Amino acid sequence: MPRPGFLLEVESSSPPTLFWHGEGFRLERLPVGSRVLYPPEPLKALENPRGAIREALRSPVGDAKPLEDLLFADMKLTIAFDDVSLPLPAMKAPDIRQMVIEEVLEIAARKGVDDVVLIAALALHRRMTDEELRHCLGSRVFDSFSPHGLLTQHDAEDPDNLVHLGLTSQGEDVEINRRAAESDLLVYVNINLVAMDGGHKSVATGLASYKSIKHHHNPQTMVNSKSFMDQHHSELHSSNWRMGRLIAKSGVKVFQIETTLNTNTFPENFGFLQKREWEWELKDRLGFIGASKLLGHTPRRVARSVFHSILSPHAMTSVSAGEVEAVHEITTANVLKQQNIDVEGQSDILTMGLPYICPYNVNSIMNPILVACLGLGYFFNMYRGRPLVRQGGVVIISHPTKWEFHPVHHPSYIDFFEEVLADTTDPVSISERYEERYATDPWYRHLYRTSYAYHGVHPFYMWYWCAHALDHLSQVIILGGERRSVERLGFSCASTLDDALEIARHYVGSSPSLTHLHSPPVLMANVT
Amino acid sequence: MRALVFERNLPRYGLARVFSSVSGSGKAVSKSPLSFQNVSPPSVDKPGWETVDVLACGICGSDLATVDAVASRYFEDIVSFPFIPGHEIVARRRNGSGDRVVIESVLSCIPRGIDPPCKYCATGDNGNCTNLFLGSIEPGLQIGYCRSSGGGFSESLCVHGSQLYSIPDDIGDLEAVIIEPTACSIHAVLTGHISRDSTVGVLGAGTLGLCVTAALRSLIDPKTVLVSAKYDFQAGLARKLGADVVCEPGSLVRTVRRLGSGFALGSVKSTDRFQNSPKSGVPKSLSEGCDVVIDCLGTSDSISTAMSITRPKGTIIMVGMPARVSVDLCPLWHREISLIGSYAYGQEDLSKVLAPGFEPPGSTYQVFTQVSRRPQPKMVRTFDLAIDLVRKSALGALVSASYPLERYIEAFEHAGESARRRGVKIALVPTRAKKQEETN
Ligand SMILES: [Zn+2]
Repeated sequence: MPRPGFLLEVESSSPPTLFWHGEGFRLERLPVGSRVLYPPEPLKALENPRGAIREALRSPVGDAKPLEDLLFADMKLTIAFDDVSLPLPAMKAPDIRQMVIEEVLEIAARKGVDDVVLIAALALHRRMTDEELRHCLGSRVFDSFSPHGLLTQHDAEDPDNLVHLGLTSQGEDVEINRRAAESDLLVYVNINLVAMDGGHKSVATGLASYKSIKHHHNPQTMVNSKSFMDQHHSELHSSNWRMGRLIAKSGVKVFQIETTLNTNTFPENFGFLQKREWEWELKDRLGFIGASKLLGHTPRRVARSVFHSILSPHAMTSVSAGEVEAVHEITTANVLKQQNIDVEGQSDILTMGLPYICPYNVNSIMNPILVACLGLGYFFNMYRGRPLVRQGGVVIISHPTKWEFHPVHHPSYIDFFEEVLADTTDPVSISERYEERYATDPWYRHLYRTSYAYHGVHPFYMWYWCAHALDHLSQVIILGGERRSVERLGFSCASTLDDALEIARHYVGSSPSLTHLHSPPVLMANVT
Repeated sequence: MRALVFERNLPRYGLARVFSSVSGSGKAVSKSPLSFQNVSPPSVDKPGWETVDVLACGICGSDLATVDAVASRYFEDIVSFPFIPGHEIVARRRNGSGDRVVIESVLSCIPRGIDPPCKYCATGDNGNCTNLFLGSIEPGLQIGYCRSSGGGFSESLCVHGSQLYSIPDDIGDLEAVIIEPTACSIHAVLTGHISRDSTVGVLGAGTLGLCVTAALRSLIDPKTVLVSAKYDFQAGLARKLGADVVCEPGSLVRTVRRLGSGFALGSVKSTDRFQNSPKSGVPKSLSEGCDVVIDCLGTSDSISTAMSITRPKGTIIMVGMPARVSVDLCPLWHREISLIGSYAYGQEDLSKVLAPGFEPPGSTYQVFTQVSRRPQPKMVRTFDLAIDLVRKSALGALVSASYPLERYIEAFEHAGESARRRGVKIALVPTRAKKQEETN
């Protein structure tokens, strides 16, 4: 039986705590009395994932017929799937999407369906490379669809391939991919790594246009999503749910397939990463020393290549299919089963170490804006109830936070960092004064559509992700960060944990309480 | 009289060139053919000439280029050795008036006593004079390169009355050093290529870049003035003098693109997955760009950058003295960009001053009647505009430090790295040795 989440209280005899630090690690001694949150151990994987998929397609949940009954010859079938931002890191072949799509295609073939198109549900993310598509779908699927132009990537800026379905009760535009909307059936293949993913968000965001997405990706919505990892207290999700229901009402038939993965995130040689420090065995110690030594002498570029080539041994823990809301309820429960830890009370300081990767820099560079987003957007929001850190508290993030950007993937991020953040870090002011220009910039649009660039507006969303945390906290400190980029983010910089705690005391008093979010893997704190 | 003398000395010239390329600008001064000597004061016994006592003289980028031995060999036939360098001169007349003057240093037909003057001098454009090697004095394009006149890095020199402009009482001796470079900047700005709705890029935020910025704001007031500044204190000065946007050189191309919302081409197609080369992310050229770029640096890099940020049919004005450069001119050809030079000063056409509410200054020009070189109607001497601008924009504050003449080695070294030391203009002060004042 995998052990549940665990809350350690640091004693003087406790071993130092491992912090991710970009393409490296730090071992830090947390003050005695600090709390360290360890997520539950990886759940047992399904023994026969393909069998489980087949069973899910045969016995859908909610008001849905088995997939087989929804397919017929001469129909238009579209299969949309989550893009390269999931899972993290990329999983060892076969990818879960490949397994699901192969099963769907097999049934479709049996039923004589021959108009089938695949769509990567990019939303405003960068296009996937052929190599990435091949990894995610497997060679069989890739080779039978790609050469015929039947493997497509959603283009949120293609006026010819978007259709406006109407306005929600709140006046939100619902505009999605035309092929998806005009198909007899839209099958959506999802991977759920965190509670935010999936549900109506899959189609209503993944296949939508900027015009539509901007209704929920804005500072007001994000400040009112407490947290956006908790669907029932998330304005982001309310908006997506309104849109999803309108999509259904417009006659778009969605057959949702959601999957969950366990948190077996890193391969054996990085096993020390997901172990509790006092349980490190000799091989973990050697693994840590080896990795640290190696990384200490490796140029960052090489370290980056090493890390980004890691394939995760993630395994599937559940799959369910059918009507969106019913499916998503099951999925969310399974995600929580893997990630939940109950925590009593908030603390003054929340510490976290951030890795080299987040959903938006797969095979890319984790730039400072993404550092802020992963720390304050994702990790800070991994709670239900109330945040792990109190109102007016401080977050300490460990990450090198170098002034580095991937010019192909993140062109508008560079300008956002140079121009927008140099002017103001206030999300509301940023959205009012800069968003439209960036969102409609013809160069960014061109790069998003034809190269491998995130949409021009994407860095704004990353910053809006931080809005709730920025609103809640009195200070953010980056431990071991590069001073000029940290200052551009509007945060403080500290070179040691002691310095960081010293700065934090200015805001939270002389004897602060501290909670450390231990990762990997991810956890979801239920804070009472 | 004590002075810095520059002799024709090819071996030392070669040594200086090697040394400056290794050690940095200004560091080669002790290896260059420049030396501190006792010399007999220059004397020009020709009509209109007089001797003036130097109060201060600025170290110009072209002086640095001369001691670093990187100046263009183009000048070889229009200088006469040995010469005393220094042309940003503030001096006092000996004629009894005791007037303090700045000196328009070009040695054109009028000081040379050439009558009738060449067609450029005849209309007041003496910066374009074609007779720089003729007449009653030795060859030399301007004071500071001519054996006969002497130069500013000394106790006294000879000048022609037509070259003098009185300094108003509210401009101090050292502050007045900035008048000459300001005149160069104004001359560049008033080429007539800059309209009020222009976006103008200024490359560099040293003396010229800052004076150009002030001149743009005061004389044209264009829609957008964008300055690339390497250092924070330069950025602050540029903003104060009227720049709307200031950026670091590395983000210049992106900044211009943002202003024009065009496309950027090049360098973003690399297949290097992690894009680690230092220049990755710097686009090569823009589909749109500045209407006019004023290059105050004159290097291969700055000229290339200027071409990549100038719009099709736009103009690049070169005010920084270039030397031999290596640039790919294909963008110039393809985008039909005009590359124009701007040397020194002379007279300006007031109809090209576009800033609303601009009041032309009264003339402090020392009227010299021997040859007709009166300003034309609607024309004004560049120096008169410069004196006016220095007062209005308090440009005298850009003179950051001064050294006594005998400490010229330190002074040149300081000038060579003045920006890194938070300075702009460095000056030399003869004899009446003043303590070095740092007035950052
Ligand atoms: Zn002439």
